[in-house]
Parts: sequence; structure tokens; C-alpha cells
Amino acid sequence: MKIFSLKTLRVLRWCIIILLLIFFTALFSGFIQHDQKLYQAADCQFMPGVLSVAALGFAGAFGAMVLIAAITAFCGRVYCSWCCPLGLLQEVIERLDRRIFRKKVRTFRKGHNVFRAAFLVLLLTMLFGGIALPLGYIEPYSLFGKISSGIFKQLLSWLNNASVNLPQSAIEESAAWHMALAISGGALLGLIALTIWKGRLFCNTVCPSGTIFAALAARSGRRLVIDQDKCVKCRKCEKACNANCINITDKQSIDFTRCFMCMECAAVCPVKAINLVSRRKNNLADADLPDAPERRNMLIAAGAAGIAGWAAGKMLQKTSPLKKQAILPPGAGSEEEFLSRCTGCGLCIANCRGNCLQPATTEYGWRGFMLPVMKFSGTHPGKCEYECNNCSANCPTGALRKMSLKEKKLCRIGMAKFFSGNCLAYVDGEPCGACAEHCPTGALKMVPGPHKMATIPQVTAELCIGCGNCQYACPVTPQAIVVQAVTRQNKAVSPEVYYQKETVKKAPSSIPF
Amino acid sequence: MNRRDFLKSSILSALAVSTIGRTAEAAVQTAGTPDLVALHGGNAEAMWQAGIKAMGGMEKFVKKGAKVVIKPNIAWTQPPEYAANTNPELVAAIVRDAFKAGAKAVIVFDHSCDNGPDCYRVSGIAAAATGAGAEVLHATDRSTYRKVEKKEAQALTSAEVFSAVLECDTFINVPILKHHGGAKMSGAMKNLMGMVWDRRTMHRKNLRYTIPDLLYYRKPDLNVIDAYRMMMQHGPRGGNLRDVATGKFMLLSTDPVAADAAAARLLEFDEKSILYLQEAAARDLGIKDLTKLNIKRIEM
Repeated sequence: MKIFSLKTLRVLRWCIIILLLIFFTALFSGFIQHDQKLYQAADCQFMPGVLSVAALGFAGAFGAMVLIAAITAFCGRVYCSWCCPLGLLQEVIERLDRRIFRKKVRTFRKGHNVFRAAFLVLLLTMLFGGIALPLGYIEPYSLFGKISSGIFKQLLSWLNNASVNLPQSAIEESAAWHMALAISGGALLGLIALTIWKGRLFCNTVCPSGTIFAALAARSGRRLVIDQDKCVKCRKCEKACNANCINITDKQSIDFTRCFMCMECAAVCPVKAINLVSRRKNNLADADLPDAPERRNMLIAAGAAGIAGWAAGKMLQKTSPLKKQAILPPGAGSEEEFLSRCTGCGLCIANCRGNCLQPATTEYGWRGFMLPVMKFSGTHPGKCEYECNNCSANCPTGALRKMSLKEKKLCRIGMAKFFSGNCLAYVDGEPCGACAEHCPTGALKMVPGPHKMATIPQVTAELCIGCGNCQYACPVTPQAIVVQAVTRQNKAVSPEVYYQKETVKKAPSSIPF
Repeated sequence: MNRRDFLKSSILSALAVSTIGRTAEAAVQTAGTPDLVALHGGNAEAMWQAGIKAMGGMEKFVKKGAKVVIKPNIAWTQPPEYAANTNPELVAAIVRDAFKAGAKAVIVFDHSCDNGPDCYRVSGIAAAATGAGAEVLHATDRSTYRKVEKKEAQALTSAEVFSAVLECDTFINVPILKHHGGAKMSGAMKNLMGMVWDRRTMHRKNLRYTIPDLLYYRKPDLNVIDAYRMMMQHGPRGGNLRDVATGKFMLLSTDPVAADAAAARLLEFDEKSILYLQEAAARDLGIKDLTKLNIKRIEM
């Protein structure tokens, strides 16, 4: 079954790697905001799919997750070196590194089965215990998102600023943005160092998707095998393997639980001894499975990690109680749900048309550090654009329920409150009305105030969705109109329905002067 | 000369003088340029064509090789039928005529309230203006504005004005007529808020004084108020088709105060309730009394 020669396959893979990396960087840099369909690509990632199913049940992104698992069970971890953005980034780092230090070689290293099993269980039980934060820094899609929306977006925006005539995004200057930049910079440097030092060790120890895939790949239908009769033990494959999973010296075998199916080994083999073969037809034993004592250790470690993770989740939750003051992005539901689901990939922040979604510092407590929060005032104010639903439409993890634009326009994320003591019109009698002018739902009505000719805003609670356009537009500091959090997001009355019965003046039928 | 001859000649000359005076006055009414052209009944492009002809032709405003800046209202992410932004057909027609009159470059821009690029796209103005050959400039970056100080201004004594406006030869103001929650009415003068960066400062320093102040920074050479569709209430943002009336009006004037005074009549607003209009007239920035104006009315 040879459709492609190995060389063609290699070229094809590098084309895909480069295209996908450019594509994902563009996604996380907000360069293709208009086409929401492209963002469905983020739904095609494994761990976000798992999370969305965990959060939303059958409404989650089932398809891609099941497909990726099925592919892995059929022919190994293809996803890891063909599709996973963090995996692709490491492939590029490794490639560049080999270009620069050609002599560097990889040698076989034993896998860390006990650790990785325990670590996976720890992350997942913490997640179910209510702490999604650690997963967000380990899970490859979210980690790539953090790196990309921090460093790459900033780089691209600097380049963009060099050209005139285009909408230029301002260089973000608030403390939260500096922190986000530092975190993504640190993560990128760490990843580069780790990749240069030990290849794709990340994917084979801490990556939760990787560990799940390993379990599936151990019994996969097809597997890469070294033909022992053909093998000349030149060790070219072992040296080329980013996963350090080929052992030539002892037994000429490939640890398929750690293999990413990058096919570099097969491409460098001088005698074509490495082939993808059917496990059943060739009567292959589960040679890659850990032996009995190791399996027992894995079970014990995983059990202990499970208890520890769950307990830690519950305990840590108490150290960071809900503040219920921050405005959550539309579709988040309640603060509790949001903090236990969002991994902080930054996709919504990067694609917010109103620049109101920003990384949180203290708004949620440490449990929500760097998770998206709506900011309508402060050093970098923004507002929720009425005609935009990018955040909820794009969120792949189910932390934000997918909503159509029509639904989002009625999703109440907060409630405006008028503080008359700060209002120009109320205090000084100066007509302003900036708040009502910007209100997209007609929830702010200008009514007579204490001064003649200076009307003041009045909030119609049924119509207010908490979009923050009023707070953003308010020219005084502190603002005279402020959006306050709601305990649970709910549905507002549609302006069309509310104003249905109001009479509208007609235009004159001829020139009236 | 005897008494009879004297009386005869004086009566004749008086008659002659009065007739000449009257014919001269009539000549101004018909042949001279009107202060305000009001049109009704046509589509946006037809009304513009008739209106600019009545104003003396586009060549009067756009000289050969001129750099023209057109400032429509592109404030909101709303399609044309919601009447929140200027009619894109009108913008395109003005761009075409500017080129026909010999303009070297035509720039279209607005400092939008919603996300700028979204407003440009959804309003249909970006496509219409580019299609007609204009350059559509984004005004979302502060560095494209230049700080200017005006001693005569009463509240907005310094402002960051969109650079292209300061550098152009002809500045054409093309607002859409709307009800306005804060300022009562959005027309010619209110539309000029989109040529400066300091919208918040303007609100803070009382729109009654800051809106007329804008005329010191750059008075438009021509104001074209689009009232084909009119937002009768819940302005300036709207979003409900019930609030939109198809009035099929258009007003042209070199005087933004006169244009706004006429516009108030279209919306049946008491001009006294439009404070910035009162203020601008009090400062002699234009004439708000329609009876003092030479108005040309065109029904189509």
C-alpha cells in the first residue's frame, strides 16, 4: 500500500507544517477575524474537543475529537506531528536546530510511563476539581495560543505598524499585557531550550493529549516496525528521531507509544527497513506496553495523583474564592463555570473587535490569572461590539457556549448602573449623552435631570445587556455609568419587541420651509 | 427746468431705480448661487446631481488638481437601510463628480464609534467609495491626527485633527440626518466630531460649545445633508428599522449652520432645543434664520 514515496510524504508534511503554523499564528493574531468559519479549525484540536464535550456534553465539539482518537487507534500519533500547533512549532525548532548544529544526534531514551500517567490524571482531576489553570499551561493547543497571541501577535503588529494606511493596533501598554507577554516569552524560550536539549520530551511526558494518544497507539492497528532481517544497525534512524523512541542497540525496536509518525526514520533508512505494517497480520505482540511491575507502579501513581489532584483542586478553590465582580465574556454562564473550563488560550482576546477582552490580573483571583475578562474602563478600555460574536463563536473549549450573533445580542453579561454623582449633566448641568449615544439596544434613555436642557441617562433594565459601550463612552473618570456583574448570564428583551408599540413620527411629505 | 418737468423726471427716475432694484433682486433669486438648496423626491444620486448643479456646479468647489476630503458619517456597524451611516450611493456620486471636476485625489474617512474597519465594511461606504476611485483612509490610529490650537475656540481650544483634513484643498461634509439622544440632532455640525480624535474631551467640555468650536479648525467648503433615509428616534445609533423614515430629502449649503437649521425643520425639531445650533448662530458662524436665506427648493 504505497500511495506516496517517503520523500513526497516528507515534502508534503513540511508544506502542511508551515501552512498550519502560519494559519494558527494568524488565528491567534486576529488577522482573519472576518471569516469565522476558519476558526472552526480550532475545534479540530484534541484537548479543546475533550474539554468542550466535558463542559457541554453532546453540544461540544465531538466530531474532531473522536476522529483524532480513531486515527490514533488506527495508525498512531499522526496528529502530534501533522496537526498539533505546539508539535509543529517544536518540529520547526528541531529542524532549525539541526540546520545550525548538524552534528547533534539523538539517542534512545527510556519512556517515563509512570510519571506521564500520574501527571495526566493529576491535571484531569484538578480540572474536575475546578482548577483549569494548570491544564491551560500544559495542554498544547492552549500553550501554543498563549505563545502565539503574546509574542507572535506583538511581532506582527510591530511589522504592521511599519506600514501606513492600515488599521494599526496600538502596542498594548497595561500591566496585564506586559505579564501576558512575559509569560508567552518565557514559555517560548523554555520550549526552545527543551526541544534543543531533549527533542520532543514535552509531548512524551507532560502533554495530556500525548499520554492519551500513547495509550491508544500502544494497540494501534498499524505500526511502524523495523525489519530485523534488513536492519544494518547504522543507527541513522535513532539519531534522526525527535522522540528518542528508536532503540537500535538492544533490540531494533520503536516505542510506538512515543512515536509521532513523522516518518523521518523511514526517510533516512538506507535499506528501507522501517515500514508501516498491520499489527494483526504480522502477529505483533504488544511489545511496547510497559511490563507488569511498571504497570502496577503506573496504577498506584495515577491513583495517588488522582486523589491529590482532586483534593488540591478543591482546596485551591478555597484559596481563591469567587469575586463575582468581573464581567465575563458572553457565553461564559457563571464565574464558577467559566473558571473551571477556560484554559486561557487567548483566541477570544486576540479576536475581540472591541478590544474589551483582556487578560485578567486580579479580577478573578489567582484562579483566573490571565484568563479573558471584559474591561470597559482603565488603562486600555474597550467595549463589546454589538455586531460581533467572535469570542463565543470561536471558543473551542466550551468555556464560552457557542452563540449566533442574534443570540449574543440578547446575552446579558452585566447591567449598567448610573452613578449620578459623577455625571456631568447631573452635577454641572452640561449636556453630554455620550452613554445613550453609544448604547446599541436603546436601554439608555435620556430623561430630564435636575438642570434644564441637560438630560440624564436612565437604564431600562429589560434591554441592558451589559456590553459596556456606555461605560467606554463616558467622558469622566470615574465613570458615571458602570457595568456591574450579574451572577449568571441571562437573556435580555429584544429591542424590536420592547419598542414594538411605540409610535414613530413620520417624515414630512414635502419641503417644510 | 420747471416744476412739472422736475416732478416728472423724479417720478420716472424713482420708478426706474425701483424697477432696476427689483430686477436685480430677481436676478439673484434665479441666477445667483442660493445659500441653501433643498431637494425632495429623487434618489440620492439624482438629488445630488440636481443639487450640486443648483449650487453652481462641482467645479466651483473642486479646482483642477485639488486634494478633496469627503467626511461621511461612518460611525456605526450598521447597513445603509438602518440610516445610521451616510448613504453609500451618495458618497460614490460625490467621489465621481470630484474626479470629473479634476480632483487629483479624493479621500474618504470617518473616526468611527464602533470598530472602524467593521463600520467601513458594513456601511457599504468602503466598497462604494473605493469603487468610485477614492482612497478610503482608516482613522483608528491616533498617529494619523495632528494637534492644532485655536485661540478663538471657546471650549475646545486644542484638538487633534485628522491630518488629511488639515492638508486638503476641498473639504466636503456629508452627514446623514438623525435624531440624537445627546445632542438632539445629528447633522452637518455634529458630523464634524468625526474629524477629531478628542471625542471624549468634546463631551466633557459641553457639546453646546465644543461642536461650534470645530468650525474654527476646518469649516467645510460644502455640506451635503443626506436625508433620503432619516432616523426619526433612538438616534444616533438606531438598529431598528421602525425608527427609519424614507423622507427622500437632501440639503446642500456652504453654511453648516443654515443646513442644520433647515435639517431641524425636516425632523420637526424646535431649533431652540438644539443648543449647539443656537450657540453657532450666536457666534455668527452661520445663519440659522431661514427667512434670511436665499433658498432654492427642488421637487423631483
